[in-house]
Amino acid sequence: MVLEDTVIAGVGETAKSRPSERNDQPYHTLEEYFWRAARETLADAGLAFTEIDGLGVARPSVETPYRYPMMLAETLGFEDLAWVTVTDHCGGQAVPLVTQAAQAIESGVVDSILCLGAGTPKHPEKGSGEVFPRDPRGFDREYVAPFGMQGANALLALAQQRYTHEYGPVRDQLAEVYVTQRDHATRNPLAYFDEPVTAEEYKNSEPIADPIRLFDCVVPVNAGFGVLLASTDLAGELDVDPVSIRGFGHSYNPEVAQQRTFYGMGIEAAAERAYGMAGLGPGEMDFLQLYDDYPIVELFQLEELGYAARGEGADFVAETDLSYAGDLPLNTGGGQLCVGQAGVGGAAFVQVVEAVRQLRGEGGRRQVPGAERGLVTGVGAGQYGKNLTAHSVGILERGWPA
Amino acid sequence: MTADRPLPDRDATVDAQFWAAASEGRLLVQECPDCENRQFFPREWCHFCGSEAVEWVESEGSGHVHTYTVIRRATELPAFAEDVPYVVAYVELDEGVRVCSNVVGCAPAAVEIGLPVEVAFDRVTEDLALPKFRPSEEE
Ligand SMILES: [Zn+2]
Repeated sequence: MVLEDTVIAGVGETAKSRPSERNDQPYHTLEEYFWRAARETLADAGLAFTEIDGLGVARPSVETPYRYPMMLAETLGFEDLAWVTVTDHCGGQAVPLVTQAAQAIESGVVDSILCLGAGTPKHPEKGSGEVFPRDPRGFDREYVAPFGMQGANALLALAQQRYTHEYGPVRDQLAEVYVTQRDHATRNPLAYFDEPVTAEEYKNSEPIADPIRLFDCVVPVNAGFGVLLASTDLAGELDVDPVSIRGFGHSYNPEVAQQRTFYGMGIEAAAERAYGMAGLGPGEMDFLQLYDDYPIVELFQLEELGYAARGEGADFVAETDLSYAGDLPLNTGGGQLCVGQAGVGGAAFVQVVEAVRQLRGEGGRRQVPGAERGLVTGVGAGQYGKNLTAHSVGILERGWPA
Repeated sequence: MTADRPLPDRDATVDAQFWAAASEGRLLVQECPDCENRQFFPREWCHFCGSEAVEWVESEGSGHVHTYTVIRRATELPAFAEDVPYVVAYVELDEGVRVCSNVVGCAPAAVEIGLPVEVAFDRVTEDLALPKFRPSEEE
């Protein structure tokens, strides 16, 4: 089943910044990033706030009041919305937000939904370390935090350590992934990083949580993103270059068994659903936009998405040109690792927005030649004793739904 | 022991039992009499079969390192900055469950996957001890 009556009719993205007392990079409030992203996205589609009848909001990681989506709708200036979708799936929520919102268009409830994600993980007067408010109860407080587990850096370090114990070293191949994405970022005017790095610089960056080093970690930035979904009827009246959603799949909390692996994810099940819906396989994608809070997460995904057998992801990377003009272009805008991650709200929008730009032929100096179809993912939500547990895959295609 | 470090909330019932035992030097895991699975972290029900008859089993406190990391920078819990470098590990207990903890009593460089370890309670307040692990004395 393809989403027959829905297209992506607009995308938008703000500049990225890491404001601090030591630099003069701009600082805006969370609401202003939402507003700027909304304004850019609506302008891209040629619509006004008052013409939109649905809103999707990805929950930000900075502290917000419990009624935040409604406050945001009021602050941004929407009136008489017929549908509001809110997701709270940690970093990977852009794809589920878009696909859940699309259901409202498919069912005929609304003609348009503006999906927004934003985050302000860097405050000019505060350092890092306050990005994720801790939960007041549950296993994280009881059985994880008292031992000084340092969030996602430590979780992915545990996963990478176990993986390399079983399958061998991956450092050179992860360096290749990172260096390629850095090069892509130098070709993307909206990426945070605009200087290339060498494999040696990657491998010698500051140790954070062995074997994770600084350049393995996503760069937190302040930014906002938007994706506008419209019915094919509405989009037909607009001057837009449509992108359709050929398939999608989600998987949450896939394993509860005690003998689970630390590196196993649920992206395999999500991909199976997406491939099944689209009637397509991994060999039919012109590019991949994979969620990348760490290069090792991309390696795990390449294996589970069907590009390499388990344990052979590093071989695949070594044999494959992942650059925008190569065999299988990967994270052509630089990915979150180099574009920047706007908290868990804006995180996976990097993948979706870049995919839409590529399919519209707007990739500029990083355009994948002849890009017709691409795969986007989102992953997030580390839990007790296992890897990330919220997974989503979307397959996007240039043009109107078939 | 630093005051602003996160500590367990001992008001919650199932967790209170775990931490009360830990403060007496006993490490508990849960076992389900209906499906015979063991689980960790503790819950009021069996997460395999849904039974509410879960029972506490006292662990021998021995196991091995399933995976580990050496924390070099305290990115999210700054209160631990004075401890770096320190080891966060998942220890696979002989009872068959994996437990998040620290490996202590040796240099971080001495830790490796498969290292045999045994529980060593770290008393952090008068009525609270955290179960940590050190290399086993007998191989
Ligand atoms: Zn049971």
